[in-house]
Amino acid sequence: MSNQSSKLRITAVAALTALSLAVGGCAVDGGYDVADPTVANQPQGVMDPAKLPDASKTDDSCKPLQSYDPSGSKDASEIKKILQYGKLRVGVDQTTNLMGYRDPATGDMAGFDVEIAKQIAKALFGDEDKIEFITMNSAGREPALQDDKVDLVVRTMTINCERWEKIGFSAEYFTAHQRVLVPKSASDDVADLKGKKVCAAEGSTSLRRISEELDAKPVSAREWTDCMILLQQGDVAAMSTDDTILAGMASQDPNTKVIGDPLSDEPYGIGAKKENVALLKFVNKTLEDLDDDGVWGDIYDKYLKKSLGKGKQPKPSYGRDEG
Amino acid sequence: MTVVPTTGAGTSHSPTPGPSIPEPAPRGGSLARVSGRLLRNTPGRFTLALVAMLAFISVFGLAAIADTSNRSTSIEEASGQQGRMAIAAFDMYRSLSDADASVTATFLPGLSEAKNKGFNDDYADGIRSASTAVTTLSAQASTKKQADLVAELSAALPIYTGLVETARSYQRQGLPLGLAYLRDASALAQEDMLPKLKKLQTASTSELGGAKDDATGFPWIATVLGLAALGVMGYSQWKVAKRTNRVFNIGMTAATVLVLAICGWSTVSWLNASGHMNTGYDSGTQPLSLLSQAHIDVQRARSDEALTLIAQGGSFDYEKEYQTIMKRLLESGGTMDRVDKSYDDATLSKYVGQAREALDEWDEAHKKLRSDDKSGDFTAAVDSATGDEAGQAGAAFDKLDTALTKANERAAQHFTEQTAEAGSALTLTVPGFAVLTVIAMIAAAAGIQRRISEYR
Repeated sequence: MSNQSSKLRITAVAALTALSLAVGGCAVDGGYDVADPTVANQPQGVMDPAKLPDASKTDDSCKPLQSYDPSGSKDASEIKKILQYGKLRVGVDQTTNLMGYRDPATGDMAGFDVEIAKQIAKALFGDEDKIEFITMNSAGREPALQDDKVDLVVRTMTINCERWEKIGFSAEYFTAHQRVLVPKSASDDVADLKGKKVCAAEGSTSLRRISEELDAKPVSAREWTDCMILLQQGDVAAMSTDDTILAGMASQDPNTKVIGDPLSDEPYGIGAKKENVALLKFVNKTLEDLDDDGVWGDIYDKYLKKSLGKGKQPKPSYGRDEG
Repeated sequence: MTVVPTTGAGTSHSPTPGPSIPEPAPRGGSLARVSGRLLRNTPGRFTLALVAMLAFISVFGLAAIADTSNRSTSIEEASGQQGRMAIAAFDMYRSLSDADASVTATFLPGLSEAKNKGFNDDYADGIRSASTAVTTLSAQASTKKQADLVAELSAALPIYTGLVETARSYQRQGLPLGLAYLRDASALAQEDMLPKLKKLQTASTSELGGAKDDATGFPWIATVLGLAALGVMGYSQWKVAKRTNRVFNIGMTAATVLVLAICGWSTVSWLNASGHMNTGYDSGTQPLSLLSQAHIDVQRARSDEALTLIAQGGSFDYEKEYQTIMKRLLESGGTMDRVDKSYDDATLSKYVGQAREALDEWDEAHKKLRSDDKSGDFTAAVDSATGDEAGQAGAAFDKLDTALTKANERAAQHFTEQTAEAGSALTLTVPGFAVLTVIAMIAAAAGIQRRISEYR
């Protein structure tokens, strides 16, 4: 009996103690070490090592460089349509410095490709400003032609058989080469890049050549310009792609240079709708004239000579079946 | 019902009042002996009943105090730490997207000096409030995970501004590489920092939800203890009445009423506080989180619009992202619909309606802008993107931004007001309960003491 009441008291005391603790609340423990954050000072989407694209065998069975015989005639219906519209619609790039870009100060289009397109407008209308530039990315080039959104595409487009299936090409108007851009302080010998990190845009064939021909470690970025950022930050030893793109980078950063022998040849052609053979013949005639008048050389010198040295308009090849 | 004596012989079990032989007051001796002796006679039993009553009243009182003070802590946490955390995360999220969209706009060619300055100021404002928000976040981070996220954000912010400055200096020299750095900065904000903020925001919102649940939960322990105290008091009173033939004992009745009063006050304040908390949560937090989502989305769509004009050509399709965002905002059951339905408030609905209207206008202007750009009229497209005349994308965007900001403020105001009211519903409960408990104990003691003294 006596135990009962003492138990009662003990219970009461225990309950009181527990409750007063509860009232006091729990103290928040603020003592933890914050981990040093790992924030990569690097463009998003960089892959190191890069995922290499599948090896593609070059298909030359269609004689890709062979275009239609040149002709200055403006009688074909597709050319008349352009003349009637009053402007030539050209698909161009606005992100590749020196080839096709928007002058940041004026907002006007400029570059090698852009000037070539203007020459075609000049040949058609006698006025190089009778032109509409429609900017597009590389994936948009073929659909834009097929859907008649543009008359021509002058946008660093490599001529190949796969593309001939869908669209038509002019004669080769420029030959680009895959080369290497390194910091000015680096050696001129590409062999020294062996085992070092070299950047190219993701999914590009350049990645495979970095691994196979330079024996370097390919790193991929979303855009070419991201590779340039990596190079400037010293995250990669070099970047490698068409010299046209490299020239555009080198001209913006005097601390870089283009080195090495060409790793590949990239023949650029002007694209048109597959059926518009007469338009392509007219373009080929214009390209011939640009060569004869030395205009091609002037445009080349204006944009590319400083970074790539002397250049020459490629020799055209004609005779493609017009049927 | 007859009273069955609980102890052995010597104890009178008839309800005879009056002077039976009182035992001498126990002096000294062990506790066991004392309580053993206590139970053998009526005054002893009364004393025991008193001890039990006092214990139950005090335990109940403490439980009620504990409950209400925990509730206050949770409300304080909601309106205080986690609330500030959630709001700071929202703020930083918003400021950063604002800064990003503004600095992107400065890269549009052909801007007038005034417009350029306006966008630059917006960028600077955005960065400033983002930095302030980081400071708030680091002060409020309550877990290691939160603190780590804040540290990462804090480290990323100067990298972001560094990239923007590089972009600007290239841009000033007329070099397109500036755009690459701008895109890079934008990607850092959009793909690294904003998702981290989203995480932080989700964490603090869920903590906020937890605090809300804590603050609004039914006071089980206090209720059970209150019932137990009332039961013990009722039983004791009935016992005393039986023994003494006096039905009414002022002291014990007063104690019972006081315990009932604590119960009543506790219930009312609980209902009141949890009502405000629920309202604050429903009308504040949920629309706030949806509105932030909308705000961030439209800023991103704005960046996309500008980047389509100046940087289209890379592998990323900005226009496609713009379309996805617009769909997400405007489709039925989309973000705007959900904001509207999240809380029934005329003012909020009005702002949401304005935002929706502006979104439609913007989308219309955007279509025109795209077709201008596609047909080669770049200048007209840029004019529309930054324009402030009716029918231009820039004007519609400004309208949209204003409406969303107002809706945001409205929701935040709701939340703050309601949590403040929830807190004030509990004002004075702690000292009040304490005083009532002490008085109830004194009354019970006094009531019983009178009866015990009658045996002396």
